[in-house]
Amino acid sequence: MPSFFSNKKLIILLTSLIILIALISYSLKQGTRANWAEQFVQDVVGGFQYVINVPARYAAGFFQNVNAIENAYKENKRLKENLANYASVEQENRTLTAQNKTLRAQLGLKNDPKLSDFRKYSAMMIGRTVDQFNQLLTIDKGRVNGIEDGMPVITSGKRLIGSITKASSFTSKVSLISDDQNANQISAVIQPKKGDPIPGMIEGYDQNKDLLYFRKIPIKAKVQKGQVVITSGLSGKYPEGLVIGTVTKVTTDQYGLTKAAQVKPAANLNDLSYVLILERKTSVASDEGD
Amino acid sequence: MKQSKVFILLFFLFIIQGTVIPLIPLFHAWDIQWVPEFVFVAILMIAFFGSLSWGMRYALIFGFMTDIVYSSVLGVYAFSLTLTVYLMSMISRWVNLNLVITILLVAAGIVAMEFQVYVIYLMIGLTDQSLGVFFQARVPSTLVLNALFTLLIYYPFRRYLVKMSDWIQK
Repeated sequence: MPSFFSNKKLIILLTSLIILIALISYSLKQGTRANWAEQFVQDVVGGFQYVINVPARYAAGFFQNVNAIENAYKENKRLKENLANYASVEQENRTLTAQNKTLRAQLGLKNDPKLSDFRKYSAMMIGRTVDQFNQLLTIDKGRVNGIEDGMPVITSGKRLIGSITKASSFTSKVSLISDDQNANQISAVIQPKKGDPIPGMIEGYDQNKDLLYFRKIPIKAKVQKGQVVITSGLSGKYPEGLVIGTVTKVTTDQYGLTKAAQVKPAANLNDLSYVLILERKTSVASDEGD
Repeated sequence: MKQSKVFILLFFLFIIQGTVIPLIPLFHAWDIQWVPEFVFVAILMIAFFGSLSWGMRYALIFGFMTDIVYSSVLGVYAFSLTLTVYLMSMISRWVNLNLVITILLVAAGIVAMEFQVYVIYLMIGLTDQSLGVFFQARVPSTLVLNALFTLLIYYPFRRYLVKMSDWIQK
């Protein structure tokens, strides 16, 4: 009976294990940019992905249309109900914007761009990891188009889906908020109908339940099911007012000092095709060093 | 020339895995994870019916490409793919390869490969999937999907590989 590993092969196996560990620690190092070899492979594969993706999307779009027609009647009914509210909301919004402008002018903030001001780039998803461990998208815009590492990525309705992790020349990778490492330390806030905003932190994603953890909420805050969690704009990475999700369950944390909540992401992360990448016009004060 | 055909086929499968498959709505249904490992299945068949050294070379190349394009940590897929291809082709020498045995070996290879990747990712904290979810929601569906794919390509691909390895030996 031949043995699985001869001496020579055992040495090869051990060497490759060492190389594996070295490679893993290299890629886990914080803030590594994609090196030229990675960028090259990513761009070449991205080109082919783009070519294959366009006809595939046409075919998939056809089936989705058939599905959409079935739902159209129900949706139409519901949307008509919402439309009644729309006029009043728009009016209110306009009044508030005007008011805000006057107040800012009085405060002398006129020329400072708001924290929520950003430039938008639109991009198409050309690839996605299917192994579910990695939650990554590949999009068809890269450094050439002005995309940089760390920019937040949203979908329609200002719903946050993730951030750019590795931008190469013509394509870039988006790490979704369903990636546990990416969903760490996002400063978030709940705007209740009455009272002060409730601050907290998004700390991690549960891949088994598909939920985000919203922690470090003050113990006295009245968090309820169904409240909407948005980004606070206090962290340097994400601008203010991006919708993260809705609260599904409220508990206290393990020490009983703060409250914790589970948040269902607002965006359907499985059904993405076009995404928007945001670039903040302002940087946080600490970056400017004044 | 003949080699490049195999490479193009594998590259095509590699692209399909990441672009067309995620567009199919079935793949997000019922919290079940269907993971297509078509490139891996094809490489295993190359190792069984072609030659082991090619199989391992392709496993290393496409493992690294998977790492770069479809994951955020380098080396994990390259290592697991190559090791599994080697182990499976060692086992394949003791048995009589026919359709059923090939599908069984491919299934065993997929479980071994997925488990290696899962354990490495769990150790470096890239995933927090529990073992229960892994074996209930991931392994059975992945096996069914890839067994169907093996069934689909078995006869044409085997004929092609056997012909090619004859041509190489001449």
